[in-house]
Amino acid sequence: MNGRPKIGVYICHCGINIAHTVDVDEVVKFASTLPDVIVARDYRYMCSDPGQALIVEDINNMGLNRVVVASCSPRMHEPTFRKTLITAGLNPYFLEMANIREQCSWVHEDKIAGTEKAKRLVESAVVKVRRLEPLEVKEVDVEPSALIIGAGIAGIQAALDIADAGFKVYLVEKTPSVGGHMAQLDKTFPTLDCSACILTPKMVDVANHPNIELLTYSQVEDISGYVGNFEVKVRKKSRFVDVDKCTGCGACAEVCRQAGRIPNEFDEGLGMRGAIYIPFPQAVPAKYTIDKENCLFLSRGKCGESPKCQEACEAGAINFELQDEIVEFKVGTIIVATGFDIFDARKKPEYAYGVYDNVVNALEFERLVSASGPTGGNVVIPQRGKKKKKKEDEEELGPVIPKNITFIQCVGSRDKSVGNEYCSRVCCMYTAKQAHLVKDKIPDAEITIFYMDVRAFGKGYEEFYDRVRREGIRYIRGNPSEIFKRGDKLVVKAEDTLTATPLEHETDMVVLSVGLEPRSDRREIIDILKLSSSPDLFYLEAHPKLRPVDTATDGIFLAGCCQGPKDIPDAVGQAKGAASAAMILLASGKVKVEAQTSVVDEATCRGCGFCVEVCPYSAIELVEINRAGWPVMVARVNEALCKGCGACSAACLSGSIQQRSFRDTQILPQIEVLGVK
Amino acid sequence: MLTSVSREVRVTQVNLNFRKSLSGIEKVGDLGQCFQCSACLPDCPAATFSPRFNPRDIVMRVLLGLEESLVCPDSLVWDCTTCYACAERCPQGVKPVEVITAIKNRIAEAGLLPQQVAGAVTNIKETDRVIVHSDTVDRRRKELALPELVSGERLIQRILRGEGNG
Repeated sequence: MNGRPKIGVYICHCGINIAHTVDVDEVVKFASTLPDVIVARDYRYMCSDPGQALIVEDINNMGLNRVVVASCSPRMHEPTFRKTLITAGLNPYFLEMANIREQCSWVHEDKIAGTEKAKRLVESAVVKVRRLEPLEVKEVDVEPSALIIGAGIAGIQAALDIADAGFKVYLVEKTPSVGGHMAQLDKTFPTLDCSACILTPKMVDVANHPNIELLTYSQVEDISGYVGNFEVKVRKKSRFVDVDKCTGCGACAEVCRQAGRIPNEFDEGLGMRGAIYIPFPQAVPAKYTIDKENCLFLSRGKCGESPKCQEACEAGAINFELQDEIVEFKVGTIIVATGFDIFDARKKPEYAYGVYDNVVNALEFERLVSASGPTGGNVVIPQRGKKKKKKEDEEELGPVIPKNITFIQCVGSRDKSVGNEYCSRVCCMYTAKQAHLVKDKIPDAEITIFYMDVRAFGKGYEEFYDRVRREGIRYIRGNPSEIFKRGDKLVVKAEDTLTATPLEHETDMVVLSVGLEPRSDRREIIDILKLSSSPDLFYLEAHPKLRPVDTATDGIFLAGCCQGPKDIPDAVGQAKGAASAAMILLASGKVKVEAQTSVVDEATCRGCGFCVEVCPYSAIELVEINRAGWPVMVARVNEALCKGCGACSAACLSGSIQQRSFRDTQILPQIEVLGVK
Repeated sequence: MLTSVSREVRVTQVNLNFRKSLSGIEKVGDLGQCFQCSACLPDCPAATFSPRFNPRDIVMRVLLGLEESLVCPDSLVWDCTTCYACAERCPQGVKPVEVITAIKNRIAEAGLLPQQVAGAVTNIKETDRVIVHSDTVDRRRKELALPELVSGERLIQRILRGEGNG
């Protein structure tokens, strides 16, 4: 302590945000009567340059050694005013903020009561600030590498940016190939670029980049550590194919006894593959994988006399003895880019998805319309179910080309009955695009789109929507209630709400424009990284506007649809943002760690371990010490891991674990002023 | 001044508190959530037989405050069969059927019940039955080999008198 406290109190008007329900003059007068307060002032915007300059001047001229700022939430401007104190040469932890905006003026209307409450809050801050102690901000080194989880377009873009900047990147992808959902798409709105043409070069780049270590068919198992120093454990699932030997020739897949019997995930089950497969021709890496659930040899121990694939493989790459591998490495920062699932239309049984072959979801339609898809880009009514290899003499039923196609928007979006209140942001535009593609391929097709609202918000989107309407595609405003079959036609029941006409619309094929959902396996990453979710269950960013790629945990960032539904331009934009945020840490090489950490009084700690249990950051462990000749267990805090949440000190029965700046001796007098006895 | 464009309503008084007064009724929920998507209409059995009946339109009238068009002697709300299909379909949890039931109660409070409904109410009050027990009923029951109707305790009357149902 540097002598007697000399406190300066600064009351902010926040324009009229505070001043309209708090009599600022009166609070200033009151504050100046409090013990050890040398000066109390008000200013229209304390956070502004001149506002901060006031504090610096007073510290220099009056020798203040403690500062109270009564303004907004410390979440907003505590870092600002800590810097102010540093500028004036004071320890930044001699600052206390009284929140008279969020906790006072914004929630009260009565100016007299509001002013009284503001006074109490200011007094309690003054009482606390005199008890604060100086803290030291420590710096740790940052490991110059990044982990990116998920290799869809967001993960790929972030990986390329960071790798191009000269840092090592570990790119982990769960499936056998990079590319994600974007690889499944045909053309992209609103410019109609071919998705594969713009994505494939990037997929190849991540595989060849000298700074990127690509771990496909791999899963993150565990992550420990803290910003700058994360320890990562990844499971590389066995492909049962030696990737160094596999040339990707495909001889194995041709002879597989299961060939053509297993629905290919990449084609949304509309195309078939074998047990040894490559998900799609442009897959990266172009290496084959054996799916052990469906491989006869691996699941039943017998595949004819001997596995045909092994015989066919000239490179000798197939090895049924290969095991999963665990890879461990250290990174300084992490980007989560795990993407999304599409809405399962079976949750809307009225639309009969899964009942009728000619009701498809939009991603299936995307595969149907794609030249690389199971029908070679011909829009036909799909024949579902496991297909056996066709016998030579079997008569082939000609494909049925739908002449009347109907799209239904907002399936699984803006729908509280399935728990998805949000708009999925891409369906309006991909529906317009798909309708356009149908017009292209079947010029005489009648196309109808049922919609509730059309949201064409992006660059070039309204123009595209306009173009599609001019192509003769019919938009009907109404949310259909049911789809049923009449003869060989589907009937969509709806109301044209603009003319108040109930209608039964007959059609050959219905495409459900399904929305985007958080991944069903989203909890895996939450458990490993302790991420939070927003109410829609997507991963939560640190601030919806000003920290859109950060998470609440330092050094961990979000990119793409795992944070919320996004189109490709937004996903790429966010990925570049996350990469840049990660590179700030990587480039500076140092990071400051939380100073308001917990500290244990080993003389009184009983080693009960409550704090260990409640710590969400695994920052506390029990260690054995020697107390007066006896070995006893006590808690010990790893200060680099501690985030200063205070859970441990709240749980501690003996008061032995205390959080710096929030010690009992500091906050109990503060609470007492507020009238809580 | 807000006026409705619908022909049968012509110039209508707008009651801006109408929506609020119904929103306060338990079960009606937050009416303001309706985005007029009309998932409620196509499956509505009442609308199939009564082309003018439209749950979406009724909710819209409530939102616009067109009370007079709903709380009136010839109100369309009586066409509702209370099957709850609309509540099942609504993506916003609005439950048009509950809104309609609330409007029915408003009509009763205002003494504007249509003749048939008022008759049924009187029957229930006086006889515990929706249909009056008559010779015709006895004859039909006999034809259908149903047990003879006996006049039991007037439970509904006891409930209406506040004596409970025991």
